[in-house]
Order: sequence, then structure tokens, then C-alpha cells
Amino acid sequence: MVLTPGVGARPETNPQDDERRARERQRVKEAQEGNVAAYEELYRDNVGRVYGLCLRLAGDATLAEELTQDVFVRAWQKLGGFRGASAFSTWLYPIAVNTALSERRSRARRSSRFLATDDLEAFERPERPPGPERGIDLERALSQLPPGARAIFVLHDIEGFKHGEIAQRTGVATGTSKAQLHRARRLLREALGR
Amino acid sequence: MNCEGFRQQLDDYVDGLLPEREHQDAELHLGSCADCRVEERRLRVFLAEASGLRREAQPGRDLWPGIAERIEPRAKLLRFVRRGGWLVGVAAAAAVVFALVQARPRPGALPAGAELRPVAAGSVDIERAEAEYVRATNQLLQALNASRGSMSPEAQKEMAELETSVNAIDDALRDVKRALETDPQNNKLNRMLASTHQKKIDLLLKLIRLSSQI
Repeated sequence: MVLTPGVGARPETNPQDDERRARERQRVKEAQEGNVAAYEELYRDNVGRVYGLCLRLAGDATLAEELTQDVFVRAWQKLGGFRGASAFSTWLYPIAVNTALSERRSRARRSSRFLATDDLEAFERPERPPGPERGIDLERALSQLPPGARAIFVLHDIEGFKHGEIAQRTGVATGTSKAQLHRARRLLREALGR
Repeated sequence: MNCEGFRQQLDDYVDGLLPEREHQDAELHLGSCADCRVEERRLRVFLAEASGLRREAQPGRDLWPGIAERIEPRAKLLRFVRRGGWLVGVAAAAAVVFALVQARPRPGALPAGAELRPVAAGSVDIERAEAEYVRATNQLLQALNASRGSMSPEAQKEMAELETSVNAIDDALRDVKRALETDPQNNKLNRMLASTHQKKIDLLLKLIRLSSQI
């Protein structure tokens, strides 16, 4: 089964210029030949998206940093199989999701960790329009969700994955994914008074 | 459909996951219920906010040095393979084998009483070719060894087996050469030397295949 990556579900609004894509293809080719500097460029271009996802799924900044490093190491190991049929980010993103979910599953029985308030600063940006606190409120409420419901909410409502894809990646049934999503939405709306 | 039934299906309705008939029922209810229209609107606003959350975040420290350290061994291997160092090794090994086979007297080809020429195993050209071959093989082995951490369990197992084979072949080569020093015109020993080199070429090719998989 061929999975549609989350980024495909929400296409880039800016198609980017051919020059950037050509440069990315060149960097991929160089990295495939062992050029670490070229791979570093690919890392710099994509670390924000990968870390953002890992932070939401892990709920912990330190763990998210470790996961982000794991994602780029795994991607490096798999890079030889990347044929350039899609953008590098489109190819990279499923690796990030799988890495983060895999870690989440492995520690699910051990503990439940919560996003520290300071971690939320990573999502803040100076150019936010007036009233940005709503976003932070939602982030804070999201961090308080049970890990399973949080992961499915993040993947479905923020990242744009479909239930079938989520079920495959998380190992839960499609019905469970839907039930967890509805639960997450209800809990969040209750927490936010909406 | 009443309000309770509608609220139970609201998420699927908003997500467009209701079957056609149930979707139409929900639409009919919405058209006649102001409270449910408010609830539907609230959910849509909430979901729009969620989908608009920023998807990028910056880590609190530079993560690259830790990544660079972990990917360097494989990078080294890739650079080695791309440079074609192994090709030199294969070519040198092939030259060794070719020279040995050419130097080996064919059975029955020599007239009675003719003097056998010394074998070429000890010639300077072959020694140089062999040294290059050994160098290339060792480089490849070192690079593969450095990449062991990123290998699959299957590849690690294959790597261990290949290493064992390399050692066994090198031992065999040493033994044959030692024997040839005392009996340089021994055809059997010369054939053995050539076939042992051929085995090492085969092994080198396996190592190259392994390196391309990791």
C-alpha cells in the first residue's frame, strides 16, 4: 500500500520556484554520494517541520530533539533509496512520523510526559496577528491530552492525515482512530470553553 | 434526526465521512435547528484554528553536530565507493590472477626435456598489483566496519561471515606462497594460488554489493 504523506494532504501554498527544487535535487544527489555538507543543507531546510512534529507528538522538548536527530540519521541511512519522485520534505515526513510514533509506542507503558510551558515558546512567532494567545491556548490544551488522543488529533487535524493512514502508522483500527479523534476534539473544546 | 443523533454524528458530518443518506438527514436537521447550526459552526471554527497552527518549531540547540557524528561512518564508506577505490582493487586482483594463469605452464605443452620457466608469482608487477588489491580490500573492509552501527542485523551477519572468509583466504594465500617459495615450478600450487585469488575477487565483489545496500 502506498501511503500519502501528510504534507500531500495539505499542499504547499507556495509551489516554490524551480530553482529551489533543482538545488534540492542537487543536494540530495551529493548527499547520496556521501557529501555531508549537502545533507546538512537538507537538514537546515527541514529541521523546523520535523522538530515541530516531534515536539507535538512527544510532548517533551528534550525527547523531541533526540527524535529529530533520529529522524535525520534514519533518513540518511535510507537516502540511497530516494529517487527524487517527490520533494525531499515529502519523502522525509513519513520517516519523521514513523520515528516519533515508534518512540511514543515504546514508552507508552513507561510514563506519560507533558509539554512544559517553556516548550510552547518554540511555536511562537513574532509575526503572529493580534490575539495569538488562542493558538498558544490550544497548544497548551493539546499538551494535556492523553498521548494516544493527542497523536491522532495532531496527525488528523493539524497534519492532515486520513484515518486509514493513521491506523496503519499507529497500529490502531480505523474505528479507534476516529473515536480517539472525537474524544480529543471534545476534551480540547471543553478545556478551551468552545 | 433529532439533536442528540445529530451531535453524535457531528464530527463525521464535518469531516465529510457520513454516508450520503445520513449526510442528507444531517443537512435537513441543520436547516431546522439553530442550536445545532451554532454547534456545527463552533466545531468548524475550532478545526480551522487547529489546522492553522504553526507546523514548524525551532529546537533550543543546534542538533546537527550530533547527527553529523552519527552519519560520518556511512558517509566515509559512500565516498570511498564513489571514488572507485574498489574498482582499482578489482582491476589489480584481476591482473594478478591473469598473470598467474598466463605464467602457469599448460599440462603437456612443454616438450620433453624443456626447462620450466619460473612462475610469475614473485614478479615485481604482480607484487605491486597484489599490494594494490590488498589495499583496496582493506579500505573497503575498514569502511564497512565503521558503518556497522547503521547496518541491518542481516547485513551485520553477512559482514561477519565475509570477514571470516577474508581471513581464511588470506591464510590460504600465505600458505600457498610459502609453499611456492620452496617449489616455484609446482603447477598444482600455481593453480591453487590463482583460484585463491579468484576467491578473493569474488569476496571483494560481495563486499561491494554489501556496501551498496547499507
